[in-house]
Amino acid sequence: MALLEVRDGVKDFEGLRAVNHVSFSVEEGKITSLIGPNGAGKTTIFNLISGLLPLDSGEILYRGRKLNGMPPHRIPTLGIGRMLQDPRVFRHLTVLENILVAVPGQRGENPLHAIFAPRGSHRDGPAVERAQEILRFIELEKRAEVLAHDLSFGEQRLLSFGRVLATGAELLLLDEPTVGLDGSMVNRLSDLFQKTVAQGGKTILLIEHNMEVVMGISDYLVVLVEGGVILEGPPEAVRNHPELLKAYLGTAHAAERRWS
Amino acid sequence: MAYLLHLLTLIVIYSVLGASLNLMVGYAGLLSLAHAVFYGIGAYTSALLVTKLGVNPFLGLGAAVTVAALVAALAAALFLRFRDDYFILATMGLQIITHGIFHNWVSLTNGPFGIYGIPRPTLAGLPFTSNWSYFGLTLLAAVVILWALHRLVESPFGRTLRAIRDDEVPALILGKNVGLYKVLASAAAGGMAALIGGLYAHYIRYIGPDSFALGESIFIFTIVIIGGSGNWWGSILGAAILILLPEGLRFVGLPSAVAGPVQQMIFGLLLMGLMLYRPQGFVGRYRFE
Repeated sequence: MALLEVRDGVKDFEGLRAVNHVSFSVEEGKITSLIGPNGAGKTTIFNLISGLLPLDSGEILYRGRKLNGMPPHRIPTLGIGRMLQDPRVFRHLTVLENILVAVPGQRGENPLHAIFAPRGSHRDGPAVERAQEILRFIELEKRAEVLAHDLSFGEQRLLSFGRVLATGAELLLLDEPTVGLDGSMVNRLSDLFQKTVAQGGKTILLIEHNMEVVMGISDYLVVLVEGGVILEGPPEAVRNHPELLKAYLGTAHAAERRWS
Repeated sequence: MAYLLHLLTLIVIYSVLGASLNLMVGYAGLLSLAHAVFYGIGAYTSALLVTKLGVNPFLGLGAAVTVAALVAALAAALFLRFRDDYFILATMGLQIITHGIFHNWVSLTNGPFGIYGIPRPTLAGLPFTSNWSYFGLTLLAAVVILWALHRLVESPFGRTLRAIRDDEVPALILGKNVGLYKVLASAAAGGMAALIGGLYAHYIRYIGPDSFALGESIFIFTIVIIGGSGNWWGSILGAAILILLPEGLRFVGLPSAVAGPVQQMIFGLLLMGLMLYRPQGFVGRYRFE
């Protein structure tokens, strides 16, 4: 059974069909990538999965369980984590605190416990250990006490990824995680993604424009154009498929026509 | 001496009001102009229970906290859909409506005449009738409240509040029930304001609707801005400045017709100066953006 399944999903924005009867599934322990030109509906699909937007019709299943209508803060508790397109780190919190916020199930999050429990009991022992483990994994442990807004853009991306890992999510939705980064940071992140899947047993659903990254790390590709799936398959099957070329070049021609 | 003690008591009371509002403004990012609502609900609840039903004032204070925390939670839940400026406007509306209720529900609140003869409390035969002992009681309550606030914000609860203040969407996506956090922070702040409101009623022994009007909420908000958000010492400093400054003006020898407007002008200049040159307040952690 697929870990995540989108069945016949539809989403309209004031007359514009952003997601047009989309169906695809994500296999556990694999990296699946959503690709397609800008405006194809990729981020909208992420918003539908993470509950920020309601589906107009169709359904989304996670481990066979329907997600429709679930409030966004409940989705992560099922095991679906998301990394936003902008890093959006908590700027006035330290790097360590950014990770700590994401660790679920801390008793000190209950305000009564926070006030009345004996001192130290909510000093997050296990949570801190978990957070430091993640900081070592993303190689930011030396920056633990730095305020997040003092990090470089690339480091903020790493932190944003670490934050998703800290939620303990099984399925990670990553929205253009390498856009705007230099080559070495791109490599660092894509290595981390592969390690997360190979060693951590996680599943990744990736939106990515960098074709080198996509073809390099994906197990399966889903190609979207204008809200619909036009093609899917393993990278070697999709790479030189005429439909893929048409999707990118075709829209480029359309754009040119519009400008001339 | 009695005069100084009175000022000290007021500083303690306003420090708590500032600090509890700071939990909303500085930690949860909720800019509220309705703090006098909960201060007033606390004062009225305790005063009415004690004068009309003869309840022990300490039980009256407990009821005050409960009622105000519930109203604060309900208001926060209703206002969740409003953001930034709209949230401020909504709280201002709540403030004006509540003042209207204090002012016009004559059968309950005695309307504009207010409530007289509110007794000082007694505990286990120990009367808090002298101003010194009452100051001690107020100070004790303030220390307990500030300690609770300190523990709250140092805990994972407080850390998540600060995260929400920085950026709500990632907090939501990380599985934080952002709405619930805001409601809980508002309830805690409202309950704390109500406790000190009840203590104020039993201290001053007369309350009327105008002590809990919009101007009072703005005054408390100013304490937070002047002292700085996200810092308790800031609230104490802000309260001390705003209480002592006008009192100091009395000794300058200005005629009373001039003293009032001069006071307002100094407040205005102080606020403008801070906004221009030190937007995070005297000891604040965050700038108001």
